[in-house]
Amino acid sequence: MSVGTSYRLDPAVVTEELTVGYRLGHGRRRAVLEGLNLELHPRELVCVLGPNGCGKSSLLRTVAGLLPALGGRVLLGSTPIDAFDRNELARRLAVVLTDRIDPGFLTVLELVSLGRFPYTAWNGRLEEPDRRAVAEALAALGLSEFGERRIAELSDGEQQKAMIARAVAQRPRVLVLDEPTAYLDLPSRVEILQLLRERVTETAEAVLLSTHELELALRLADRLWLIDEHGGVECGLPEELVLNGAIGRAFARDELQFDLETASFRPTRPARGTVALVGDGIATLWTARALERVGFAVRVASSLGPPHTAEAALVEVYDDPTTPSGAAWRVRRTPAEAGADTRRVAADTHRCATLDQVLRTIETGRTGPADGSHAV
Amino acid sequence: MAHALKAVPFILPAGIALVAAMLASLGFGSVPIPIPEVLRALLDPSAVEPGVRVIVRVIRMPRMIAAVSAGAALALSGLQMQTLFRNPLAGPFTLGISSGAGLGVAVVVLAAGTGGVLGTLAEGFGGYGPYALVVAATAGAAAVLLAILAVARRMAEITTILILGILFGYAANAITTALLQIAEPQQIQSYITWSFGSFAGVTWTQLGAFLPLAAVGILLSVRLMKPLNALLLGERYAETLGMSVRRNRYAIIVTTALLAGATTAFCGPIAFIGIAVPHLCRFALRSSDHRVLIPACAVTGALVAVLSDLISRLPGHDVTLPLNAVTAMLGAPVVVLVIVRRGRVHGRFSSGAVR
Repeated sequence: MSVGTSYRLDPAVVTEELTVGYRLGHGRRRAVLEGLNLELHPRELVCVLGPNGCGKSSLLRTVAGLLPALGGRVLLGSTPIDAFDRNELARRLAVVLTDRIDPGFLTVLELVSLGRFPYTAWNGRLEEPDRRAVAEALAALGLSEFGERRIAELSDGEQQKAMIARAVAQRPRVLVLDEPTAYLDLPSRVEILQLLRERVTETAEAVLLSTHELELALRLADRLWLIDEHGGVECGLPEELVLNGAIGRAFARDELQFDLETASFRPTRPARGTVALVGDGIATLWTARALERVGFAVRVASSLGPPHTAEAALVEVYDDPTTPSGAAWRVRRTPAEAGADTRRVAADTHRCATLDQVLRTIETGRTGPADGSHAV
Repeated sequence: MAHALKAVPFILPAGIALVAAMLASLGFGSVPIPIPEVLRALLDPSAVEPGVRVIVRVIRMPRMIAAVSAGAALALSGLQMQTLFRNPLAGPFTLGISSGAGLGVAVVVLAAGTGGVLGTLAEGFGGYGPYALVVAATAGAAAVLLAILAVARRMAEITTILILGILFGYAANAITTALLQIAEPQQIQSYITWSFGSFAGVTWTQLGAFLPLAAVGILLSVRLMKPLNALLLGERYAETLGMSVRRNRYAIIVTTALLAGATTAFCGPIAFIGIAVPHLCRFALRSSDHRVLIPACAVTGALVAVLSDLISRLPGHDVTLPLNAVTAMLGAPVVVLVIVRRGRVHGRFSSGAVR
C-alpha cells in the first residue's frame, strides 16, 4: 500500500497557513478557504472533495501557482512556489485544467509533445530524451497507437487521456488535475482514475485532483482533502473521514444523509412509509435501492410474515432462473390484523417477475396491466 | 526535423510556383517582355536594350519584390493573430492597424491643400506624394498599436483586447469618414486610391525602408513559433507549460503590427491575404503546427500576392483592377470554405469537445 511508504518521503507539496481567494481590486479581497496546513506526499493520490462552489478549483489553482495566495504560502518541496520562474515550475508541476481547447489539426503526438515545452530550445525541436518522455507518456496512458490520430477525432475520454499524457510528458513531480473526470461516461471515469492511481504507484509523483466522484475517490485516494461548507479543509484517510462522520457532514443536506454501509447518499426521511424486505443476494440489494429511490424506507426482515401494521408492504425476493434478472418477488400489502384470514392473505400476495411490477403492486395493490404476474 | 519534412511536399511546389509567378510578374504588363529577355535583363543587363532594362529592373522589379514581402508579411501576421486570439476570422488588421493607417493618410491628404502646420508638413513630404502617405500611415498604425499595448498591459483577458482592437478600428474609421465628408473630391480620390492597395507605387528607395522592416518582422515570427504552438492550448495552458503569456502576447502584437503596419504604409490596406492564406496552409497541410505553418504561410502569402498583382494588371488590357478587388475575389471563397468546413468537420470544437 502506497500510504505506508509515503511517510518516508519528504512532502511534495506543503501549504502553510494558506489563504485561498481572489483580489477584487481596490484592495478588497474575498477569501474562499483560510488557514490551510496541508501536505501532499510523493506516491500519493489525493482527491480534493467538497460540495459545488466550495473552492476546490481555487485551491488547486493556488497550489499550481496559477492563482496567487491571499495569505500563507505553498511550498514545492522546500521552496516557495513563487520562487520558481515559470519554466522551472513547469518542470516540477504539471496541470490539467477544465479549460476547453480548440485542437484544430493537432495530433495526439503533437499535443503530448507540447508537454516538453519547458525542456526544448527556442524552436521547440524534440531531442532524444524529449522523444523518450513523450513515448513513455503515451504508453502510460495507453495512447501509443494514437500518436498520429487527430485530437478532434477522439472520444471525450481519449481526449482527456491525451491531455493527461501531455502533463505526464512534462515529467513533473506533482500532477494537479481539476475535475479530470467531468463530462466523461462512467467507464472512462473509472479508467482515468485507475490510470492515475497506477501512475502514482509506478513513479514517485504525487497526484492532486478534484472530483465529484465520492465513491471512486473513497476507493482510490490515498488521502482526501475534504472541504466543508464553512471553508475548513480536513485531511485524512478516506476510511477515517467516513468513520468520523466528516464526509457525512461535508455533504450534509436536509434531504440527504450519508449511508456508512454503502458509501452513498440517500434521502434522509422516507416520505411514503416503510417496506419490509426479505431476501439476500444482489437482487435484494437492488430491490432496496429501487424502494428507497421512490421514497420508501426499507426494513430488512428476516422471515416471511405479514407486514407490520405501519408498513406499506412486505416484499420477498427469491431466486427464479426463469426471469431475466434471475429473481422474482412476492409482494403482500395486507396489514397484520387482516393476516389472520389466510385466504385474504393468499389473495393479496402477488408474484412479480420484474421490479417495475413490484413498485406498481405496492402502490396500487395490483400488478398492473402488464402480464407475467398473478396472485398466488 | 520530421516536422519540417512534412511541409516539403507543400512548400516545394509552392516555392516553384512563386519563382514562376515572380518571373511572370516581371514579364507581363502593358509592354510584354518574353521571359528569356527578362532573365537576360536580370543576369546581364548590358545585353538588353535600355527600355527593357528600365521596365524590368526599375519599374517591375520593385513592385514584384514589394508584392513578395507584403504577401509573406500579411500571411504571417494573420497567422499569429488567429492563433493569439484563437479566432479563425482574425487577421493582420483585426487590431485596427489598417484603420489607424487610413486615418493617418486621410489627415495628410486633407491637410495637404489647406496650409497650416500639417499642410506645410504634408507639402514638405511632397503633397500627396508617396512619402507623405507612408509617414502618415506609419504614424496612424503606430498610434493604434500604442493604444492596444496600453490596454494589453492592464487587461487580463485576450478577448477584451480583441474587442477593443476592433473598436479602435471602428473609431479610427469613423474619424476618417468624417474627415472625408469635409474633403474636396480630389482629396477623396487620393485617399480612395490608397485604400485600394497597390504594389505599383513602391520604388527601390522605399524598398530600402520596407524590406528591412518586413525582414525583422519575419525573423521575429520565426522566433515565435514555439510560444505560438503553446498558445494552441489557450493562454492558461501555455502558462502552465512555462511560457510567459504577457511577454509573448506583447511580442506577437508588436511583430504583427510591424508586419502589417509596414505593409500598409507602403502598399495600402491589402485585404484577405492575411486572413485567407493561413487557412489555406492549415487545410493544405492539415496541420496546426507553426513550425510548418510559418514557412508555408510566408511562401504562400508571397505567391498569392504576386498572383493577385498579376491578375490586377489584366495582361492584355489597358485597364487595371484595384488590388483589393482581386485579393478579395481570391480570398473570400477560401474564408467561406473554411467556415463551411469548420461547421461540418470541426463542428464538435465549437461545442467544446476537449477540456
